[in-house]
Amino acid sequence: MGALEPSPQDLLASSWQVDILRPLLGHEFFVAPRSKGSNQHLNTNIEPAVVRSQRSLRTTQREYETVLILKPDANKSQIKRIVTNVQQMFADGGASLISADNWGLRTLAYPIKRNTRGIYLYLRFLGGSDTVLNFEQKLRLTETVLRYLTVKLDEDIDPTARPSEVSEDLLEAVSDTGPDPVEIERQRQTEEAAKAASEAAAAAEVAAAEAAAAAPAPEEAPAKKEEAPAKEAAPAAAATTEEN
Amino acid sequence: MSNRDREEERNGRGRPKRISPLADPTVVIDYKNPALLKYFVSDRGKIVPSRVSNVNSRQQRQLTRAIKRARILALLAYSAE
Repeated sequence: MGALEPSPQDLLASSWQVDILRPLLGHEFFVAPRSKGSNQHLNTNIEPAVVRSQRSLRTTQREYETVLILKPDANKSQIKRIVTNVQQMFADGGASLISADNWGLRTLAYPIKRNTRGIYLYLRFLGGSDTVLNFEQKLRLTETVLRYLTVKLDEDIDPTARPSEVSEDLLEAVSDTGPDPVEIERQRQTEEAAKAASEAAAAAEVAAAEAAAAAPAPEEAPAKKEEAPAKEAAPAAAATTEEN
Repeated sequence: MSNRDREEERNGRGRPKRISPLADPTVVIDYKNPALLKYFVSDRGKIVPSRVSNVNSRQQRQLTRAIKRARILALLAYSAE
């Protein structure tokens, strides 16, 4: 359509033509008030009306988000390739990737294709329903993708009002997968247990020293010894809680 | 979890006082927040009925949808022994 498109007056020559041309006209369509009898009113009283057909809705822009689960052994370049491919695909199809995030390697609540862990990717994009269709078709063909879920966030949006956050740095950050939080938690627990054990050993040592010192100097010496390790332990414990 | 901490407060009768995490108006029910959804799922992974959790019907609908989405993404288990 464009320069060759006939004027609305030409199109409205007769009602059967209008019906045939309706799908071609898309979103905005000139509809004349219907009346029996003469056709004179067609040239004088034309007002625009919006036709909400399935076809026109297909190209309306919506905001979607997709969460992907990738195989746990997916490396940095693979993830980056997926994200850049998707971005390219969106750009070709008139859609746009506006945000991306990597949730890291997580333990799955149940195994998917024998994988107990997976890398979670989060993508937010603007596009129509055909974008989602093509996108999901592509994901199904990608072997690294274990699972995906697309959710519609918003309808009838203005794409110009929502700037893209995607940059080189972000893509770089997205393709970098951090360690599994469950693993970190486990590691922290074992470290804490080890620390508690060493503290208990130190306390036992102090108690033994106290008992030994009790005979020659019963008053001041053991009290000082007890205070010193307690002060050391307190800031160390605070540091570990902050890290996690 | 802060919810677990609150559970340990006793209300004088020896029963833990349970405060719904949805009492906080800033909390949004979202499938991406499995920590919140876990509160509304039984030990076996079943969705807790609203008559038990005292959630209003609108929030229960949102929770149901969010839990089902979270299950698809393996953020919550479908069932657990």
